[in-house]
Amino acid sequence: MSNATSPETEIASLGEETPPGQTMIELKDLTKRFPGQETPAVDRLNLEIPKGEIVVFVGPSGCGKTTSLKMINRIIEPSSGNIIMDGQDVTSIDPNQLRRRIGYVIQQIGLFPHIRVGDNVATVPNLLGWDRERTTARVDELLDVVGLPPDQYRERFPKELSGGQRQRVGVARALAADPPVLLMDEPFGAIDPITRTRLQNEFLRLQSELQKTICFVTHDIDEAIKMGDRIAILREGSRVAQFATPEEILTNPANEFVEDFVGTGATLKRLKLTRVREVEPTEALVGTVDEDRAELRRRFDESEWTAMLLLDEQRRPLQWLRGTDLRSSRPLTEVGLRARATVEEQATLSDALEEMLLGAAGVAIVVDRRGAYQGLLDVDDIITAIQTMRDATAEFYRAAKLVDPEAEAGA
Amino acid sequence: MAFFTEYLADPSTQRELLSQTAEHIYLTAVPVLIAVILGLGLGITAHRSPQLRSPILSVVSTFLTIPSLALFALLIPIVGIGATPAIIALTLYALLPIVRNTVSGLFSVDRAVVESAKGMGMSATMRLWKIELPNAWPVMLAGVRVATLLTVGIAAIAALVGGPGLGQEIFTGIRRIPAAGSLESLLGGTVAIVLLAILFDLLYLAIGRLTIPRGIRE
Amino acid sequence: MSTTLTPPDAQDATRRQQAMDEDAASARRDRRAAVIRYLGMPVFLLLVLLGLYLWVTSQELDSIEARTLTLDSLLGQTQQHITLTLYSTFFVLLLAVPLGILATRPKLRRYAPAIIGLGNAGQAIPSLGLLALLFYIFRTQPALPSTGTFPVVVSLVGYSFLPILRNTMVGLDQVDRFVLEAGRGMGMSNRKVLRSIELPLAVPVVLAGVRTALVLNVGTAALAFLFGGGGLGETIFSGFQLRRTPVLLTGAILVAVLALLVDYIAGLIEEKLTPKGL
Repeated sequence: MSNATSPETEIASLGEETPPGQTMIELKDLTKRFPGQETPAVDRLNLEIPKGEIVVFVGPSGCGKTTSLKMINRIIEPSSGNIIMDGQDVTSIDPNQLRRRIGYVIQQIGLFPHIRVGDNVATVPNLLGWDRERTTARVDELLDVVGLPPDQYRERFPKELSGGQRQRVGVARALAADPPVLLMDEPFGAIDPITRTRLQNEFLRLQSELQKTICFVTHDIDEAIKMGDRIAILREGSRVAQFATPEEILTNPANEFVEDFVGTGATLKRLKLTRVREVEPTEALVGTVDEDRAELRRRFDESEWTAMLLLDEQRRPLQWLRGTDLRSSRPLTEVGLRARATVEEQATLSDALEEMLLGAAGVAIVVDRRGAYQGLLDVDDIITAIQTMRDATAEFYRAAKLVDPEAEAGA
Repeated sequence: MAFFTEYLADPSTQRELLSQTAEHIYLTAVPVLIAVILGLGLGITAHRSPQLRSPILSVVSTFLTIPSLALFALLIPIVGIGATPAIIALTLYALLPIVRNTVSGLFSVDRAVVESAKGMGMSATMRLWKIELPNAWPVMLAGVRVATLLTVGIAAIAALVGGPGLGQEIFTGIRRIPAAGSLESLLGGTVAIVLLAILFDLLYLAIGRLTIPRGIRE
Repeated sequence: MSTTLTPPDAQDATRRQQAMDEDAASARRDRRAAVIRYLGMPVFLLLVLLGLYLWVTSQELDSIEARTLTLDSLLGQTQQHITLTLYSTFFVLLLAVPLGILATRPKLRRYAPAIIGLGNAGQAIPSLGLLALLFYIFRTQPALPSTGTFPVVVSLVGYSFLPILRNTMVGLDQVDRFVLEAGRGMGMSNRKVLRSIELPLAVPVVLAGVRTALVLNVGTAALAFLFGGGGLGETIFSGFQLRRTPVLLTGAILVAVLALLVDYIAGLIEEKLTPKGL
């Protein structure tokens, strides 16, 4: 093309126009009719997706949430309506150029089985014509980011990875060209529950640094509450039953459909809304392995505590020590109770509560991403958190009532 | 087996068998190569277009229904006697396994893999060459292998209507049954063709080793 | 939008009408496709025969051609060809199908891969060579009849035996093992499982075998003339040897038409006899 602004350069700047918090993607009357079907799969969907947020599309199966998502990168071409991205209508530009600037993660992952992990991650940089050095550096960086040491994993083939590792590669591949927008279609749906929780937490931590604009589809309301900054609850035909923050949806469901969909146990679900880092942890009595045993004993005797948490050189929790353990002559690492029940700061209070109930000590040890000790959480902390949360939502809700969202949208 | 070793020891037999083997290789390799090129195109088309799929597959399998002697003979008035009618007929025969396996190979590629390639902005041509064909390749190669086996065997019949190849030695034997020396010729031609088939099979084993990406090898 | 002017019920009715129209159209398309599928091949073959007839009669046939292309001799060869095909198909099925069933029984199952492997390897043997070698045995063993249909049929059976055996075994192997397990789980004996589950499920396998055997044999029967078995191959060959194109073409076209017709009929039978839902 001879135009000064080729589609590529236009899209390359995708996201630079929009300040954080403003609408990054706008869906206008987006409609999909499949041939031979009487009712449209997606019927005039209108939605504004703010920059830097995770917006979750959730709804019963067959409601059109996946179709809606796949219209954004035009894997499914809309029958009518518009997609405005960063102020530009992308409904009719070259879809391949568009897709190179939008990360795409699907449930079945779809890694290319015939090429190595590193080459999989390098797909979009190669399409964009990056030079080899830049691509290699980026691939290694990303594998590191998703927790797969590049030296170990770069040269492997997808079949040599576990399901969880594959999805990490899937995420790395989607992030490769640093796209401002990510589309994720049930990305953690096919992964076992334990790995899923870990991947969700890791992804949230990643997102807190990256601040991508993310559309995330799931059928699981719990995952929606956990992952979403905002949730669009969709009913059949992709009609929006409610589009709001998780807090709002849990405390103030807009209608019976939302209420039914959210289901019982809304209070417990709200525990998934608060992260451990948002709660002030209690300080424990700690000692490290490189300290003198007499010094540890002295601190223990002076305190009111019945146990001391022993940390290793990197301040990672090792054992719970009681008085008798400190007085025994055996090495400290061999006595006492192993410190289990650790939660990362990124985990939700629900995760923390679960750990507490499972662990023997009745407390959860909060650690940072390197596993270093940050503090303790106990059941009282969680109850306090629930109470503050309730007050805060009530306040939020009162404030929200004052501004009519319809009127604001019209202005 | 003494009679057979005697037959093989004869220099004129050796010359004959060697040149016929060379002809037979030519008579197999050329049709298979042409069929690979045509079959790839037809297979990709049949995979892409649901309307053309069934016509393509039924025409191609109709070829294989026509007995080889008849097809060779049908071509003689058009292209003359010799290697040409055999090469055309054998190409038509080799098409079915190649087209069928190209289609099923392409269908065997995980849809999620193709969709993610699309989602990353690969054009249709790129998806075909970089994703779909490499992943369909093991199945396609198996089709080429079957096509080759088929061709090696059927090529023998070309000799009945003046074609080259090891069929000539068999035909010589047939005409002399039950005279002395006929069994030698029958065995000589047949065994040479079987050995050729085995060699081709080994060749495909090697090609598979070299060309099937490690990530999708069994 | 103009639809807002139409009351909802009317919209619905229009949409229903459209859907019905589409159904009707697709049904018409289906019927047309079915007609082409069922009548396309016989009509095509008839036209080919008609064309052949018109072309041959329009030619100035020399004495040799006229002598070779008599209706009597052509009909005789066609009959021989069909007889050879049917006999060899009957006997190969009689041998290969029961043997295939036997070889896939639990007790013998461990030999199955070896037999299937042998069947695959058998594909490497050229039909011409194998037929000739089998025929050679008949001609050189005094105890065996050396002329007539019998040695040719045996040779044809010998050639198609391995492919049919292999196909039968592969087909039976594919009968869903879960179905078998479910049968056993309900307390059926091995024989009961074979009779009431495996054999009905194997019907398509056997029918496919019939079709394959017919097509295979109609093709190899074209080589029967080499061993004194007659058949339409004779006309092709004399046309080639005498350099008489009308003779060559007549033989070739008749063989091709016969093969396509046999395949077509076998296909129809296969379709009609295959249990619904399989």
